[in-house]
Amino acid sequence: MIDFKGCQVFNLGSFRAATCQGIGRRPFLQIGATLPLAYGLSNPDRQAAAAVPPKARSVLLIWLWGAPSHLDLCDPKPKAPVEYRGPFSTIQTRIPGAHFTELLPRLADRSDRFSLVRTNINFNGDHFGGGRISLSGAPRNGLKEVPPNFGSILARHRGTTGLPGFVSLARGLLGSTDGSLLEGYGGGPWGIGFDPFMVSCSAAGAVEIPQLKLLEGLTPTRLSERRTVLRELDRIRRCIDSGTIGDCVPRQQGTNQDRQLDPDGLREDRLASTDNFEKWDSVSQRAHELLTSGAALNAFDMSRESAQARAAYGQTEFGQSCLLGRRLVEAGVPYVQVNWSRTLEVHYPRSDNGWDTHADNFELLSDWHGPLLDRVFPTLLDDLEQRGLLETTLVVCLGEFGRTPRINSIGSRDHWPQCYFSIWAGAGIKPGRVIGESDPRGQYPLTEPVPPAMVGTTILELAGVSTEARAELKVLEGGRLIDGLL
Amino acid sequence: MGSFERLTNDGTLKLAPTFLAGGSEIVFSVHDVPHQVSLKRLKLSDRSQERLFPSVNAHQWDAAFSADGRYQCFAMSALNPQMVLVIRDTLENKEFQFRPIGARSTVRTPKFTPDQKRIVFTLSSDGGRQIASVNMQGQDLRKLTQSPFINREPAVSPDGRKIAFSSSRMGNFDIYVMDINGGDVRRLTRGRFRDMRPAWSPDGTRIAFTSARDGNLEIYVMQAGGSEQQRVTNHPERDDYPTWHPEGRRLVSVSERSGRFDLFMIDVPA
Repeated sequence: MIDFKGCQVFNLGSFRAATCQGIGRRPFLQIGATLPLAYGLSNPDRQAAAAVPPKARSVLLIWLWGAPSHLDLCDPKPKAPVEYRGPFSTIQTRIPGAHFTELLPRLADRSDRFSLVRTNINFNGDHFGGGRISLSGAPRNGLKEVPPNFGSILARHRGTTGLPGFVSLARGLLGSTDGSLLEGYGGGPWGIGFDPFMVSCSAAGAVEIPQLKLLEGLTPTRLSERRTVLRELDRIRRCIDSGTIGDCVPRQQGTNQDRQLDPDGLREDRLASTDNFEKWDSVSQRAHELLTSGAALNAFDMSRESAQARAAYGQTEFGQSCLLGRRLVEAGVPYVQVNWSRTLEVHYPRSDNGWDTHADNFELLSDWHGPLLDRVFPTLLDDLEQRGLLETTLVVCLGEFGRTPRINSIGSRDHWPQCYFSIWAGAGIKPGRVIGESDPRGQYPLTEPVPPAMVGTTILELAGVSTEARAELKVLEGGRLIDGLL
Repeated sequence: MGSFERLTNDGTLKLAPTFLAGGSEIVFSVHDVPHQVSLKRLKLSDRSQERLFPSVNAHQWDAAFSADGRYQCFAMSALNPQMVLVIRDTLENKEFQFRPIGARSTVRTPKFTPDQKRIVFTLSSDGGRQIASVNMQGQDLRKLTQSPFINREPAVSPDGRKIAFSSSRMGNFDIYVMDINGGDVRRLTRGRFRDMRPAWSPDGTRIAFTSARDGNLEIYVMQAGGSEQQRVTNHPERDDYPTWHPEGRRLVSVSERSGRFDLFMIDVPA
């Protein structure tokens, strides 16, 4: 067992077999992935937290990476000059005084189930800077170390439950097509033991857990066979003992470019410096705990979902990921971040259609992003409500910032951190409200701005991480709540 | 509503179908792998599919083919980043590219003129979102619209004299028609919500288009002058990207059914 600043972590092994070929037992295990399951095992606040259940048993953060246009979705300005307002008509919502654009008719129809903040602000107009601040509440002037993600904080606070405390649904760590990765997406100073547990879900609903790829051929369905799991673990143990680990793990396919884009490769480099070889027996035991946990198996096994539910979310990666996110919160995972895309860009070679619409904003929102968001997000709210989960699940939907109210020279919109929106629903949120007002051009808040620290403080407070607990963890100290939501 | 025949059954996200080979094949964009939008060819005879350009790793959108099949063109993602127009002359085995000026500039929705002398497309570059054209070598750029509004999706009439397009010049997207050189702009639809993606019937008498006027995207047909606007599809999920079959009595659409996107052939009322 390894100790990372007082927190236990363990190794399960990496699927990046190419890195493992031809190397011995010790280096292999050095690059073994550190499965972030053993959060905060000695947290004194946990007992108190357990005594008073938090309003949000789970948090489901829908992350629109790349920054969606607020004027073209949830804060239209139909009376603004033509160079600002955009080409979409507005439609009535169920919230008095709030209009959406015509791109979101289903969401407008569900607007009595959520509240809308129209005055979010960020302190950095760069995706990576803004994203880091958005997901961690980092202060305006930055810190030497990137603070932990809200999900990492909650996971540490809740402690180990047999399920991952913080799951991120994407094909890998978030970044851009040039291979840059988003900081603030994990445990930060607490170490990689508090990074999110990465899970991907394809458009067809195929679930992949990179950290378990070492166990070649194990699918969530097959994981239900305890003997299979144990057999695989024993096989790997024998490989390690015999020094032939390279023969036990799948060989990595793909081009150099694939590897450059694959964030797990970069992650391995980071892990390689960690000497966490020693305790294979402990590794085996931990892996067994996860893989044979009934709750975990059920949650990751999308084949248990009805065809009707699968269809309602739609056959897209984002849709099926939201469905998996619902399954995970149903199973009791404290914090799930569902990512619209892994890359922030759209149109770039090898991008996967993020929200960074510097060009073709109106076409992309009309043809792709708008209809997809309008299908999936209302379905998620309906599903949570019908299952009685909305009462105990905090749902937050936002990106790192908004887009320029003034249309740019090529008929699109650029970055705009001075004013944007977020959608809040579920546990403890008063639905059907609009919080804040932006100016007639959507450029700046007319009312109190809501910075990322307020977003994080509100999320954590509803999830049971009290002011005292935050102070003890030295996170978001002095943070304020978005009072209008509560 | 007429018959509604499913042509594909894989459910992957599809866009912008177009007919070729006299109506026996359809080429469309598909997002079937996470990091790439690519072009696929569907043979209607056996419903087989294959990638049109398997060696191209960039995103490929909006394929178009000249009437005699000699020329192909499509929009392709490129570094900088841009969307460039790729023009291929299959007879001479030559390829040309039109790169719009400026980072982040794009070309989308190209269409050949019937005389196969020019390609009309949506250009997003300095000066906004305009309808423009180049010659078959990707040269001699001409901007056909000059407005601060969004202009998109040109469709050249079969006689080569008109261009139908979608524009937000009156506030929201409506269908307009103009002369092939950009003059005499006339508005054909006046909906509160999006009217877009005009497509001329092969005989030039009608225009199909997509509209959000009834709450979600449906396909409509109208006379070329804008009269007799008639709804062709009616479903709570999306029906989009109408494209006329060359024989002129049917359309192919990308329709979302149970959360899956497939190509459908639709009878068009006379």
